[in-house]
Amino acid sequence: MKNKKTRILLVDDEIEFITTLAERLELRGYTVKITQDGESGISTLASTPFDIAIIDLMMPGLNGIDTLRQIKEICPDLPVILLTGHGSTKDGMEGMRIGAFDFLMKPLDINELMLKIKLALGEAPKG
Amino acid sequence: MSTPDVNDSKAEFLGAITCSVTHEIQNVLAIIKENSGLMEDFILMNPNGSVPGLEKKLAACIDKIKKQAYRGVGLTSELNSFAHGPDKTTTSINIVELIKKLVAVSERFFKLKGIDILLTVPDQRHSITTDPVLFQMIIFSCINCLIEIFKSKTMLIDFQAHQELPCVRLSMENAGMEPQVAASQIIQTDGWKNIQHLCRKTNMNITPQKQTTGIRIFFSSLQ
Repeated sequence: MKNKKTRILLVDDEIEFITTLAERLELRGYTVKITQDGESGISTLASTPFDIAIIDLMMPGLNGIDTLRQIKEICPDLPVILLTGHGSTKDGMEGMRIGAFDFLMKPLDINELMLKIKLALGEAPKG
Repeated sequence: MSTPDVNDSKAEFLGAITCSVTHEIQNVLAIIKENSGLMEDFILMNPNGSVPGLEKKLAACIDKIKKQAYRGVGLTSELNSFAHGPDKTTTSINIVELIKKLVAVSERFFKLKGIDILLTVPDQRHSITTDPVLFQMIIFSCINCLIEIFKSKTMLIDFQAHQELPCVRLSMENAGMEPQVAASQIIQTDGWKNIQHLCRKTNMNITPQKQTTGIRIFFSSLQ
């Protein structure tokens, strides 16, 4: 368990997915806040400090790429990991071009996600 | 604007729907995977029976997995039924059933654009002989055409009689525009010429509505 809990913002419109993922991350010592759309994710970030954000690319309203763009305007240093249900890496690569730390394909591997979080926070050696 | 090749348009339409539904299936699988992972987490954390209410927690995960399995079965059945559309290029179709199937497979596609579709199903059956994929493409293109113009978040689809022939009516609820103005905007969209082209190929006529904001499609030949 960590001494100072890392704060994660999870943004995805699939409520059963993020509530379960949030519970798994909390079991691993993180503090997790969930929101179901890009707009509320951005307003949550504007009022509350987070260490990292995990955002789905395909959401109604503001999509993941536009959400990322706005997050980079208000929190340029916040690492963002994108999630995609697409079979191709095209959207994930597009996200990385505009500042995402990395992207992962759904369904997720929790160990891979943990590794990406640690890398993004500088808690794990690269390579 | 030149009208695109019909087969290219068909491939694009089938691809858009397949992409949308398989994306949703990925979400279903992601939820199942996370819940099975959470069950594993609970069991690994519980070598001495130290997790309070373990049985209840596991039961909650199992319920979620079951629910997603049913959702996945529904999605794959809808996609399978849709994928059989191109089996015959000309056949007798029940237009109400075909629109119901289209709405089912395109629900998430339009939800991502912030649009809910409300379909009013009539009691009687309306059959025509046409290309089922082209027919669904026309309805799909009309919905896209309307949501491009109007700010409304709700699309209404119902069936009316027009000179004793059935007709499909697509309209936007609270479109915020006079029907006459809306009609002139509809015919200026890029998609309109292509929709008209598809209608000619399938024995259908199409016109913007004069009374409400939307499009009316009526059939010139019925079976």
